[in-house]
Amino acid sequence: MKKYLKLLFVLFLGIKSLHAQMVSAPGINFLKAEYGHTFSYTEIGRSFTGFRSVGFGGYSFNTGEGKSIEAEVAIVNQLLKRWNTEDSQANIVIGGGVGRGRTGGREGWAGTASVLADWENRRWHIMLQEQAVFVPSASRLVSTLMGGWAPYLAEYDEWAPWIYYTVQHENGAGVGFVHGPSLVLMHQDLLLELRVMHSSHGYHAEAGIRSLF
Amino acid sequence: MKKLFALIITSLCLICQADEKTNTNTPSQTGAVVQLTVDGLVCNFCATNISKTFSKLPEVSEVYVNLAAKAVLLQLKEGKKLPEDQTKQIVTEAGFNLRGISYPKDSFNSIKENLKKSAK
Repeated sequence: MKKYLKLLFVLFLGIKSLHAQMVSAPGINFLKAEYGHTFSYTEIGRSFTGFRSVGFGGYSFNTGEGKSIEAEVAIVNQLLKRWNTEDSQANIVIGGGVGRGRTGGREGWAGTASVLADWENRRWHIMLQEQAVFVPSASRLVSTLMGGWAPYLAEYDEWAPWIYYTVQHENGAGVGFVHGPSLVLMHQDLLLELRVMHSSHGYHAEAGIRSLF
Repeated sequence: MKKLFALIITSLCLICQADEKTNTNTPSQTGAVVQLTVDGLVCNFCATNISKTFSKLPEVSEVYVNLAAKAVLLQLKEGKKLPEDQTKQIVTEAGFNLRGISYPKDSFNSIKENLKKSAK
């Protein structure tokens, strides 16, 4: 029932499409969705090894040049490198996908590419991600930098709060840099995120969810 | 497209239900206890990966993860064994490094409580 509720929550967010970029342990499914001001995406998939996952996903860009961009793709994600130490972990993950996309009434092949690098310990987390989407006669490159801090160290079976600050830039969106704080709550296999972001369009709320199941 | 998403979600739910059915082991408190110390065990999703991975093993009846101690506690079923090389392989394939393994004589629950207390 818990799994169904999580999926319903994501559908409730109204995200139009799916995309994947996450690698877990073998045999674990993942869900990752973000509803933002300039773009939204959702990922759902399954890790077949601890270093590779396959999923379905998509992007929906809702700003820039007066026309929306949408793409739905099948994606493969590969954990290129992981460093494990006693108190920290760092990762480099790449992903690529092929599917269909549309913009301004044109539809055709779409492609995605992404690279993510992060480092975290129990108190701090920093992540840099580049996501590129190519659809007929248009493309988008989204750069995201996030830094997070845990006000206290919670255990796995407790709610763990994190405070993040995110800076994001989307080429062609026409809103400049989007930035703002967010509150992240983690509990076992569930992560919920609420952001208040600021751009040249003003303030706006964003939401995200991630889950392993 | 909505139909495709509905199909994907339904399929994944069925997969999950199947996994749960195969993992409804009867807990056995009489088997051996194994305690692992794992490098890279720093976040909830790391703990979820490790926990779900070991929960799927037929030899394991219960798993407890403690982030503060970087510890994974396994309750084995009665008469079951989990060889050290297999344990190390499982941890590695899940994306982590096994730093230590021990076989404490105390019960699963008492070790679990001690780990919880030491984390406070």
